[in-house]
Amino acid sequence: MSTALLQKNTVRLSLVLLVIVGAVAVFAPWLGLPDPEEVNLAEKLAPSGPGHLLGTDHLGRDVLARLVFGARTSIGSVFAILLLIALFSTLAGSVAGFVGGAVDSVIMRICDIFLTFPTLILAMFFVGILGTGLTNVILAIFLTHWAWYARIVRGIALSLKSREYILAAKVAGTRGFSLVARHILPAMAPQVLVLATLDIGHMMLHVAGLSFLGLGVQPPMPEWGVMIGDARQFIWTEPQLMLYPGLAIFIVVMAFNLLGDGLRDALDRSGMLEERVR
Amino acid sequence: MKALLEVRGLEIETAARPARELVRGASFSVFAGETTCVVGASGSGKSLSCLSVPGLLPPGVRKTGGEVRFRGERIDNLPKEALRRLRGTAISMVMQNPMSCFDPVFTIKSHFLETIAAHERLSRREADEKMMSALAEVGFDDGAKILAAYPFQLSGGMLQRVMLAMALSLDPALLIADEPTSDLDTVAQARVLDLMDAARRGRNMGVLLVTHDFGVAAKMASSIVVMDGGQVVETGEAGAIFAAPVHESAKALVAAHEKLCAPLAAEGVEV
Amino acid sequence: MTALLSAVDVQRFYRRGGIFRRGERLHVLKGATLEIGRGKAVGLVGRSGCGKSTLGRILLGLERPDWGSVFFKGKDISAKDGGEFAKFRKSVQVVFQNVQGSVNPRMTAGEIIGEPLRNFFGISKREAVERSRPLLEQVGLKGSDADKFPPHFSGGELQRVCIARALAPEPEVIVFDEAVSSLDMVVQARVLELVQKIRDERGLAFLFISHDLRVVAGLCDEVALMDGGVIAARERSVATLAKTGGATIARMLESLPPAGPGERAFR
Repeated sequence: MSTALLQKNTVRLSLVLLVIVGAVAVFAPWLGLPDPEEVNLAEKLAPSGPGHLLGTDHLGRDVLARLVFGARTSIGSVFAILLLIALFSTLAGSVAGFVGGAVDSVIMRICDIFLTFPTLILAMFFVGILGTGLTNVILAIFLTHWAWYARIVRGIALSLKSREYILAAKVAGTRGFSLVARHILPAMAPQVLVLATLDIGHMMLHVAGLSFLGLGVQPPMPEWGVMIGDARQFIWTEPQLMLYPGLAIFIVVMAFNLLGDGLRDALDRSGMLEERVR
Repeated sequence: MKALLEVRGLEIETAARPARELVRGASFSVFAGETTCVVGASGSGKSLSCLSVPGLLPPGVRKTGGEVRFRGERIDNLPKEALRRLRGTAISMVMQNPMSCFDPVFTIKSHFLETIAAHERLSRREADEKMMSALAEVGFDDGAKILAAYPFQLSGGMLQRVMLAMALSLDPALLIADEPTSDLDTVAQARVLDLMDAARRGRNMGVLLVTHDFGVAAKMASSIVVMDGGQVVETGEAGAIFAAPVHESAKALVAAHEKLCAPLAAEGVEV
Repeated sequence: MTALLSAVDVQRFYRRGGIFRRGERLHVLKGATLEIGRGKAVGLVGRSGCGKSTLGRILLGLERPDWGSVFFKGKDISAKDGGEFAKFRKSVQVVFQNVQGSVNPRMTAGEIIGEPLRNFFGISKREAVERSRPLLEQVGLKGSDADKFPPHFSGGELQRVCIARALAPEPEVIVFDEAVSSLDMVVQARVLELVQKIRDERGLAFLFISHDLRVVAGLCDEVALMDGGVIAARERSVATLAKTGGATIARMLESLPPAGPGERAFR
């Protein structure tokens, strides 16, 4: 699988990009960049130059530093959301699928309620209740997306439940946690992984979108959506302020989507992924 | 007599690099009104050889040599559209797994109409009549009920009969059946095979039947083609192959079949 | 003498929501009773969809009957406490029809066969894999095959792996659920030979579920016919079953393909 995956140029390109972005985000404090939150009105809206590679914004903050630290916020929050979803949705979906009956019905009806609303609007609703801020944005996006994953995990669980090798493992005396760890999770993991990768870009857009609207990450914390929001007033005079974070979002979202596509193709070829991922 | 279908020196390879030979120089023929059984173990290339006749090789596999003649004319180098027309008017297929050949969200009727409509223009009434008579031919007295049903409401045997009816409704000169009864129980198998045989006799249709089961071949075949490792290793009249198989793999197939039948015969169940 | 494993008056319903009508109940087993004696090979035959596999899964403890009970060595398995159930679990093993589907594609043959060894004998994974090697040899494969993954085996070889897994915990009964139906005929004959050999060597009890009378006839001491959700008849052989079993068995017999071209069907 791994070799088939790496044979694709798009996948290689996106991996390289993501590794660079990831490394930059992780090592941001040690890159010798200026403080991204340091306001210096004397140098506001400075052009690109030796002191500030990408210039400064309307408060004189270094744009490159804000971009780099913004990557931390954007990617970090997305991974936090995915972790929450992976834990909660896998649990809810597997319980629904494997236990079945009334439990299944209750969990699925709750999912239906969440799935009825468009995610961005529902997320805005939750932020409205919880209040603005990064943590609340993470919670809101988790709340709007878990149902979708739970549904898919339930589908996988249902198809696994009657699979002969699960039955055979039961007959071979494997129970409880061992059954889950040896047979069920390894079968689910690749499928959930692909879905998650395909969805990362979508979630980053959500985080950025909510921040842009002023509902998410609050200034002065650096975040790409916030940067675009801040740059709005200078769109005619300083268009690069909007361009840089916009490009950053575009590149990272695209890289994750290409990687997700590649993963899906690779897993499909090895026949592990059923027709579930679309 | 001239053969209805004649396959000569068929070569099939995987499209991947390096190419792997799957079928090497296979030759066989089917005569009108007769059944040719292609018998072999799984992986012997029997299914691929037959799928290549109507140009239905799966992706990743391609024909690299040999020729296929139908009624004396070459069909292996026909353009796609011409082949498609041929499949609708002269050559029909029945596949192994009936469940996966039907989409569970559509009724039998919509599947059936799709098949008919793809190949000829008919009024609604003509189409209905055609479907009903085809279903009657495969033993469904209440065709309307079958047409209204969804695939999962029918058993595997019933679905396979529906598939046969769909194939026969196109009035083919040649029916290709790829392991049509391997997923069915013995009773359903006998039913489908009997219906296929009756259609063959009634229409003077040629049948190319792929099977791993020498019992099925014994029941159906006028001639048998034994394949092993991508090659045709033995061809002959059915009785002759049963009585005196020559090639090792033909012997193994006959022996396996005899062994399977032996206990019942020994118990005094009349053979 | 009590039977080794028995199902008594077992009933099973399936709910089929929203197919014909919402919540329609399918009465699959309508009071089936079947006993498997120590060291006996019992054939369970019937048409597909008659409920024979369901009965098999109930005897394996994989499904609970809605009514009736399953007894192992005279004790109801649903009433058994943890330790007793483990004994039952170890003693009743299975080989399924869907060869590729009944092994975890992410595990090597050694790990597959080692799974019951680890569970029932509490040994390490490495030791379990080592102990799988002689088992592989017993089923006609090589000890070194333990390190191969399922896609590298043919259907017949993989079924041998499954048989080795069933043999691993030294069971007293093995349920073969259409275990050779998906194999082609030459392979089928070889696997059946292996099953016969195991029976001769170990004196295990078998439940051999199949729709194919030919497979059951050579292998079994007793043959039970399942029809309409109950065990309709039970005899010493297919031949005697043919005399007493009525229309269904007659139909099954006459449907069998003939032994040779131009010959009549079985009767």
